[in-house]
Amino acid sequence: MTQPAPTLIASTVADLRRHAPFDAMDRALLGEVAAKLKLRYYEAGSVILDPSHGQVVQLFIVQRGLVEGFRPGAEGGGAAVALTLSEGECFPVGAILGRRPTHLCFRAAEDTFCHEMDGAVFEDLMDRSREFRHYATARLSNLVEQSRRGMQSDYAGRMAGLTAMAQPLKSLLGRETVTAGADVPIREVLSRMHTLRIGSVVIVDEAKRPIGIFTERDVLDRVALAGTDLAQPISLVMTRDPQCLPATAALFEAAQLMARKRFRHVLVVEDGMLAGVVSERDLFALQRLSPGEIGKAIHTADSVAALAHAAAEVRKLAGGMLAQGVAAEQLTQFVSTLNDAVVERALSLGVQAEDGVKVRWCWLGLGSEGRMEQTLATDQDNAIIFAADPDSAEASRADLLKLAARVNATLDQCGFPLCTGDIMAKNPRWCLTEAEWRALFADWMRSSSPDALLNAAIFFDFRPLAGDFTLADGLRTWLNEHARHQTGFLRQMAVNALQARPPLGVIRDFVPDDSDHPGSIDLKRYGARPFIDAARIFALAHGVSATNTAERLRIAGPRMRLGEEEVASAIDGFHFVQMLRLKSSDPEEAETGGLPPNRVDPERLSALDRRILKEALRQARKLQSRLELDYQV
Amino acid sequence: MASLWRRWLGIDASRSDWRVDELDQLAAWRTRPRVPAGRSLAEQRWVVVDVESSGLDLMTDRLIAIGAVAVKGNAVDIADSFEVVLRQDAVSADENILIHGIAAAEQRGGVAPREALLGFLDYIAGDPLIAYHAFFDEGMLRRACRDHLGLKLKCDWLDLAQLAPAVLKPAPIEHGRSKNLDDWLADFGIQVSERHRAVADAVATAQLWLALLPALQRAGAHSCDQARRLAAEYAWLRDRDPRR
Repeated sequence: MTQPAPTLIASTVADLRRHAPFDAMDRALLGEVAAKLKLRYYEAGSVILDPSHGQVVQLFIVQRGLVEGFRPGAEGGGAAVALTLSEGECFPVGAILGRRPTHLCFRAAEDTFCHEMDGAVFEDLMDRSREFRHYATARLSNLVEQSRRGMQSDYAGRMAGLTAMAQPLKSLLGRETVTAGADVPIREVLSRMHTLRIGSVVIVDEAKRPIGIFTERDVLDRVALAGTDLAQPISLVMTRDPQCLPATAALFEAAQLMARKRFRHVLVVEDGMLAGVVSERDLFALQRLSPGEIGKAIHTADSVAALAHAAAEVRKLAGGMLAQGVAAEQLTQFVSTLNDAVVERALSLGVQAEDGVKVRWCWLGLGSEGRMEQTLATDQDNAIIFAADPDSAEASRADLLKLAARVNATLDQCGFPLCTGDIMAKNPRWCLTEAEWRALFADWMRSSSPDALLNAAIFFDFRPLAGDFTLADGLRTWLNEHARHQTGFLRQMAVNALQARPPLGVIRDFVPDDSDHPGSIDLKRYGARPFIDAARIFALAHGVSATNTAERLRIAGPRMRLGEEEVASAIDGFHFVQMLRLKSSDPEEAETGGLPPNRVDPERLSALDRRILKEALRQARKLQSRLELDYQV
Repeated sequence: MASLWRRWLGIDASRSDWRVDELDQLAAWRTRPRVPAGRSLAEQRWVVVDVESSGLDLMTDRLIAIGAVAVKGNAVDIADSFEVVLRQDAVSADENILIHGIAAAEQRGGVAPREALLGFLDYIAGDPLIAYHAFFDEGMLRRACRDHLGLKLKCDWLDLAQLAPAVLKPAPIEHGRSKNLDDWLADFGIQVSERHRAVADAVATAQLWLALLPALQRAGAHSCDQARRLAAEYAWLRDRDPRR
């Protein structure tokens, strides 16, 4: 056959490059891929792929049109549609990776053309393109998001393990691998394995290239039962041509290889030279790396240095989870839970050092920490409430301030920078008795000055982190009883909240805010804030104790006669914005395009993400219109 | 060897300046297997073709480029595609360059017509051809083959300009104008990467062919012959009914 037409390859490449992940991929490689694609047509309404087709052998890329995925049995359209795929999007990534039939039915929602990529080409791409591999494995964790919503709960567990599995093998290589030359006697190898308590030895040549592997399992059948002379060279009993993977390969590739070939060890090579060994045990250990285990490390930290080390682990793992696209709600809760543990431990270390405190006290997390919505790097925002009579208050405060100063410093060392606005427990203004807090809160609500509104937005999201929680609960109960009657104050809060309008345009999809970064929008100010502010006002007005935005909406919703659907959509919208924010602060993320954290350029999002963002901002608008209605703003 | 015999016997006397492999290519075309009757639409390899020329006059304008892509198993196979720009002695008129976008330098740097056409015959391999307004592509290719190869080009053609209205039966649009290729492409959301670039137009035409297949099956046409008959019937009726 003649060469494929160059113009056609070029135009197919150009077509693919309009979308992620192809836009980041090597052109020459894409050219090779393009020459292997087939283009097929699906009439509107026709089924493209469903579970009955068996193991998936092709990847579909939507060229023109729209594809819907829905659960088998469910009638298409409306709520049953699990996902919508538009131009440039691929499906079914999870199924082709897992070499299994798809769980969803895919149907053409419009007249649709799809490129088809053969399984072999897909595997080749997974090997050769880091960007494609990242895309395909990150997609996997989207299934976690789906399962969270109860759509495919059966394999949530499996996927949770898989997110860690997309890390490169390099990340698992720690200790030095024990090697031996081909002519070393068996006896010597065995004694080394015994004294070093290791399960395997890699046999290498002079250039450190692996030529074989010998494991403890081989001892039984090849040495002991076979009655091999122990003076013989190890090359006689080793497994030749062991399985090797490059250090950049993902962990799941090693797991796949082990599963397929029934090996327990995979050698990791860099430039042909041995870099280490990954065993089945290593992989399983990794899957057990749970918040619980890091939590344990935090609880047992016996020094500030040990605590700082554990806190760094939290951030590292969170960064990894983020890279895998773990849902925002899960991720922020994970980070918050472990950060809470760090704060708690910092306080118990502090109390050990400063044992002068005689009164009951409670450490309060404020702002995003109070709402359990921390992103990866957050300043400290904290305060103390304590129980004391007016006459003994000053002495107790002095003791507590000493403790607080120590704890604030510890947290700083653990990666929570000191608050530039000095909203910290070591500041005497924010280390108050129960009565003082009530008086201060009452004053803020009465005055409704700009400063008071600003403070209320931070402090009213307080949450107890350590010490005597009943003190914080008492303050919350008091606030719930009083805030709802302060309609003037609530109205002022609503006016404030309505100043940040979600950037949706009538003609254009998005209205970029005026800034140094043309075309981009500020997701913190105009995306997340509207949700957070509205939820706070709803909570205060309806006596809701929760501080988490999603939780506040869930509880306040029914009290405000909001429909279940409405509340769920608002929460989904909020979480989507939060996820984009998390991604935008991740330096590893290619999509940020050099924008500062919390900024996103809608043009750079995928068509689907852009649509979801639009819908999310529309949800924020809806919450704001409710504020307008309630407070006649 | 066979070609040497032919040359010696004088069969290819008029082609005394041809290379042996070129004679072989021509012989291969002449002895190509016929498409078996009744082959199903999906089994058949179809060659969807589009040509660019120096103008719209079949008698005087020259063939400038050929673009083609194959459809088999109801899918466009990007690997099985063909494009060639024919070398021109006289570069085509300026206004036409604007339409087909092939610059003068590219035309002069093209492939010698004989080599280009033999390459295309190799690529077709006797399979049926599809085009939109096929009479034009067929006419251009026939004349070029006659002039440069001394060959009477005989192929099976399927014209989508006849088949599309035959199976989709569209309502006439304003002023009684019938649908053109751009209308059909828009109906199915087909975009052309580079309109008036032969191979890009061929891909768009191939996509239109794919989009017609479901309707074709519903109209009861399952084989190549049945599809061609549908198109021919439509053309016959249209020529006798001024309203169509």
